[in-house]
Amino acid sequence: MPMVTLRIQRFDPENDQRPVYREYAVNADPTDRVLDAINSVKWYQDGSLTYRRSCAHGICGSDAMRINGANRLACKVLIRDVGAKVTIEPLMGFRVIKDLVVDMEPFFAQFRSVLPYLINDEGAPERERTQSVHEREVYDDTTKCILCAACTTSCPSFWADENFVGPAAIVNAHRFIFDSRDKAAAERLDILNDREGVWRCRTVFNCTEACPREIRITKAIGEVKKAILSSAR
Amino acid sequence: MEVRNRGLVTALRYRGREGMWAWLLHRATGLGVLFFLIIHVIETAAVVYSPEFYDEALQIYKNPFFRFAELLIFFSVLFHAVNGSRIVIQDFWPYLMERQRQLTWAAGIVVLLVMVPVTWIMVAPVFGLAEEPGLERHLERCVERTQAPACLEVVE
Ligand code: HEM
Ligand code: FES
Repeated sequence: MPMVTLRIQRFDPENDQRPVYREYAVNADPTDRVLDAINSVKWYQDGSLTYRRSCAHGICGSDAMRINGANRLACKVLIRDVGAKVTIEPLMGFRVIKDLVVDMEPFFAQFRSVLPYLINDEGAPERERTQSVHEREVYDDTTKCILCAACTTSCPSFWADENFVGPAAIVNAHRFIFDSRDKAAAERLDILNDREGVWRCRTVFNCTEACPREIRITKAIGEVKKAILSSAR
Repeated sequence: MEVRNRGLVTALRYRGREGMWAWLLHRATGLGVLFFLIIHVIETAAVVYSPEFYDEALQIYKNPFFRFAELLIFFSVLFHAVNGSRIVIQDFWPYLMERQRQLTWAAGIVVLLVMVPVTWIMVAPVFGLAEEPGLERHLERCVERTQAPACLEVVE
């Protein structure tokens, strides 16, 4: 098995003044995932290395981190795609709790702020609330979010302004704004029609490039911007 | 101690793609043009308040260095306008953002195509490869206005 060098940003709040980079050499196959290499460090070299992962199959959204400069899920990137020397850092913008673990609480607060659940106070219908294929299609892309925060922490507007609601929250607002069964679109558009809402977006496309689910995030944000403008008329 | 990865160096190391570089250049050129316009307004206003200073400034601009600076200003305005138009088009028709990389490259190619002849027109005279545009008209005017500052070196 070929050797791969992992250069990992470490930070232990109890002992370190500032983050340091440490290098670890591990055996890894080209078809191994970066997560396997990180596991190998933790299991066989340094048990104090701290990071989140759960499903290991790209669906729980736990192990988003900065891999060779860009946000990725460690469980979705193969060693052959990152080369023999890999730099691994925590996501940008949120407080580092330890090593690769950042404080996600503000991220979930952003998410909650856009009312990310179905709102419909009309009486329950006799059977299910049906939708046409087209009605389902318009928000299909934004149902795929796994809340890994790769998008929000790739956004220069967010790095500069932690109060920016961020792409992930807008994606999840989009998912309900354009759902024909939901009745609170106007309320969500009002929340997002704010300096710290959609208008912080400068269409940099870092979020779209970072999304492990390939959601066209900037496009979804653009649709929300347009919906705000056309509802104001 | 609170640690957050968000400093300028960390940010510039982020490996974004076409969109991020176009955005950075858009902001740099926007601020650059704004900076230029402020200086330009001050220096042009000097023609009223201090004509000697104005003449002096114009002489300084004849230095070949400024030809390249002017080329940079031209590039900045051109890139900002073409890329800004791309952003406006994307904003009006969000579905086009599915082709955002191609649109950014298209804007870059348009800029490049315009830059080629403009660079020749602006820079070739500095190396004596072409005549200074407008030279003929300038010489005609200097026949009458021999004392105009711009004519002094031509006439002697
Ligand atoms: C040629 C006509 C122009 C067009 C089509 C244009 C277009 C744009 C657009 C669409 C934006 C928003 C960018 C975004 O949302 O990411 C923008 C931003 C900006 N523009 Fe212009 N612009 C023009 C001229 C100018 C001029 C003459 C100046 C300077 C005096 C200027 C300075 C700026 C600055 C500083 C920004 C902010 C950049 C940022 O937010 O990243 N623009 N421009
Ligand atoms: S560990 Fe669940 S998304 Fe990677």
